[in-house]
Amino acid sequence: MKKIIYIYLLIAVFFSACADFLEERPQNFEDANETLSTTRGFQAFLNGLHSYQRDEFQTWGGDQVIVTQTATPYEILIGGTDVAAVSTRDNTLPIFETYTFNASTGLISNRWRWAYGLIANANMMYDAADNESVNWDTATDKDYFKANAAFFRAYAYRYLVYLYGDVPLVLHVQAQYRTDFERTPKTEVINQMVDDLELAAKYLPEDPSKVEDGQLTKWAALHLLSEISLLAGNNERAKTAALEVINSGHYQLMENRFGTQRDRNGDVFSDLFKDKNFNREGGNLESIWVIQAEYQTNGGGNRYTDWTRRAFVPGYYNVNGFMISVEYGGRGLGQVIPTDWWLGLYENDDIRNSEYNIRRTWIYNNPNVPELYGKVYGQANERPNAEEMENFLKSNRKAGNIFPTTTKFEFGIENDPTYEGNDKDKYRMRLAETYLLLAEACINLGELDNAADAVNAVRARANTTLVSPSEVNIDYLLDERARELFGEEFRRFTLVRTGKLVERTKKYNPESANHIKDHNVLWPIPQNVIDSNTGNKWSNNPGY
Amino acid sequence: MAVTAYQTKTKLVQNDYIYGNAPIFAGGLSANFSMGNPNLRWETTTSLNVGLDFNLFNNRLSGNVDGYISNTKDLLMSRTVPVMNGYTNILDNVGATRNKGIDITLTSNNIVQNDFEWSTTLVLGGNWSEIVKLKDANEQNPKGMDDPGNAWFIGKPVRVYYNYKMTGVWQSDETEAMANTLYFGKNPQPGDPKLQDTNGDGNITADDRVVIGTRNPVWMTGLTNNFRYRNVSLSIFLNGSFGAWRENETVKFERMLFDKNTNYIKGINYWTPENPSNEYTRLGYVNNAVNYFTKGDYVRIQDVNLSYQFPESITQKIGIQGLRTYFNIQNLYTFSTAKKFTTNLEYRNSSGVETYSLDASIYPSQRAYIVGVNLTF
Repeated sequence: MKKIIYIYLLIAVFFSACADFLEERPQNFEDANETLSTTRGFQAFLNGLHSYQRDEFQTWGGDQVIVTQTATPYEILIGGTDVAAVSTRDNTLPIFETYTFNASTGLISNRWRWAYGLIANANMMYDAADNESVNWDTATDKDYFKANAAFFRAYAYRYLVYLYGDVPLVLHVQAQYRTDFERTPKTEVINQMVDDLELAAKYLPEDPSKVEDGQLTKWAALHLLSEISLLAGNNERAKTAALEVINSGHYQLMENRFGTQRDRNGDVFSDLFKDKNFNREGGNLESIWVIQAEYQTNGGGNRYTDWTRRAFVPGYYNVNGFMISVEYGGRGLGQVIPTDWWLGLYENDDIRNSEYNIRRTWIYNNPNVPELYGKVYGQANERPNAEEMENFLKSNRKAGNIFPTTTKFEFGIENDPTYEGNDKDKYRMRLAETYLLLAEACINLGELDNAADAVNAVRARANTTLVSPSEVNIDYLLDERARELFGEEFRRFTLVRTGKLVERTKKYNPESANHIKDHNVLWPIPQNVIDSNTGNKWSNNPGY
Repeated sequence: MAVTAYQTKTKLVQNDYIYGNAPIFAGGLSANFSMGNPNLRWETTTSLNVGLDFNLFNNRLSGNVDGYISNTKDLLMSRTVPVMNGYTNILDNVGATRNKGIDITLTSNNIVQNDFEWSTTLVLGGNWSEIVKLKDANEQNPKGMDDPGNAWFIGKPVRVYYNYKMTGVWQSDETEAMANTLYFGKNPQPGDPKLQDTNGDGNITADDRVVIGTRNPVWMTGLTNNFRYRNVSLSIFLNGSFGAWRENETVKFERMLFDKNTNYIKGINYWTPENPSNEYTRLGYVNNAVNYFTKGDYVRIQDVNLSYQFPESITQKIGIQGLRTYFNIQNLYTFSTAKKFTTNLEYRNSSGVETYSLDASIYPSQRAYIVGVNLTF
């Protein structure tokens, strides 16, 4: 009898071992499957996607930072093209001006890593939304989160296709890791981006006033769809997508002074780039998608999240007679230096060329250097003769110290002038660019009247002369983009899309003209990617 | 390698955002390139040891010799995989290794007299590791595929440097040769390093990389000599390491240009047109693919201790049991094959983290002089 009881007990133990209670359910950290099972969890994951995307130009890391790039991730998409040279201050940067980067260059492998990390997160969310077991709050949640995931996936592939050409199209996180990835032909990847953006446009919210600033809308998806359709060669869709945004009734180009500094000296173009003026909440009806940041605020990013201010605002305080000042845009490093061609690109009445939008005059501001204080830099007899003066100005330019440049990225905290971060919000999309995407589509379609109208919408706001249809061509369009979007657009992308990178860099940027070669249209595939893909050895892009 | 709790699960990390001008906090979560692996197996090691303990010549010479061969299979390592998987690091059973080694300890009492004693202890360890198997075996590669992404190669030690071998420096008069050679798609310039063209195709690409050498030393040794003459004792401890290679960051001159206000170490034999060095490149040379290496053999006088024990006749008078004074020098001198300006030959940095880099930014080990008095009541 005793024996039988023991046997029963043993059986009971074995059976219970099959039951759920042995399943690990971690309580002390967020497990992916647990998180992606409710609307609340999906919202946290979506917030994470926004934060991950915001780190696309993260420099040196810090708390909560998943992906870093090191010093100059933004600069390399703009410097070494027709619009800008670079300073020699940071050694990560000149190799992008002399085109001597290679497959082991950290900034090149980090960009790839950032993009596939965003794709991984988007894929996780997209696939998890299809699980039957998800506990949705409302019926539309599933499509909403899939639409967001699809947008971010397309956003990441955009970087990969522009920079590296053919890249593996991966739509799922691999449960079993692979080492035999193939490079998918670029056109296939672009088709997927178009599908993703069409889906995003269908299910993302329509009314930008009903979402929080920073969140995605149908119009952000259509704006990006317009650009990607241009890349796909589908100019008709590029045109209709741009028109849908323009005619949505939600957006308009800002034509009158607005926002926090409307009563100070300036114009509407300078208002567009003042802190707190980017969001709709700040009275801005032109912005379509704004990256959110906030000084010393939980979730607002850290001092390394974005260094566009460091990139564009000169390091004037390195010159004897200057000190860091909020008035001059705070603590810049002057990594990106506009070419002379860009500086000469405006007509005089163009407000984008006003003293509020391009800083050309620097007045010594350090009272501890009384012999210079109050004098104009370059006119204060700083050097004994003309030749030394010329060298002084030249070397200050190439070191990133003082040179004429845009004021778009000036930022300073009154009580913390040496703060190196840039916690100003940033446009990723605004309506002026939508017009220029429309113009590009119309030029490609041969509809020069429509192209001129679109360009003129932007030029009229800038208070400059209108262009006639016969003057509009792709080069004119690229000039106009440089006038309107300098520093905001990733110039390399625009020039790669239009097939003009090498030609225009040779023509307008003397510092890169002798270095850039045809094969530099693509970056090399990162060596660490080729090395780890042991099961399928890729040859690198030609020329590398 | 141990598997910690929940390592088989995919963990998310905090990644917060905000929305709007009066910002609304938005707590966020993201995956961060790591992936749980639910298919882990235990790593198993079988080993064969042969040992000999001996004590000879009336305790004058004693010691032991241990030899071992151990075979590890299902080796657990964090493997770097293509990021297109959605993650870059995953713990996995990556292959098999064989370790052979010998450990010798010898203690010799060379002189034992009333007034004078001299004893010597030698510790010597040799270790040879080798990867015998990796994943993804196929017909051409029955032992698995070499994995340059992790620097794992069949038949090589587990931890190696895999990079370009520098053979010299391009000189100003080699114009024609430079014009006919491509380094990563560009012609080299005077002052650039010459790299070994391993596959002999005339150009330098990633295919020209070679295994430079092992990061772990093959031989490690310690030698202690203790001398005593009457009340004076002297002890000298030397340690040494042989067979390891080290990365030499100090001679990466990327940031070192005179107009950039950077510090650099005086006296490095860098290339200039006037100084056609074949040892180091020109200043300001940037090539993200190339690292520089040096043999890291060294013998270090780690510890010298000289002490005087006061005789009892004196200590009793002042009412204490014992009094000893000593003078101690730590890290007195290092003899090394490592090129000059390499600062750190150790395996751990100041926080105790394993490091194999000879980073210019690491402080060299300090030398310490200590004078002490030891009182016993």
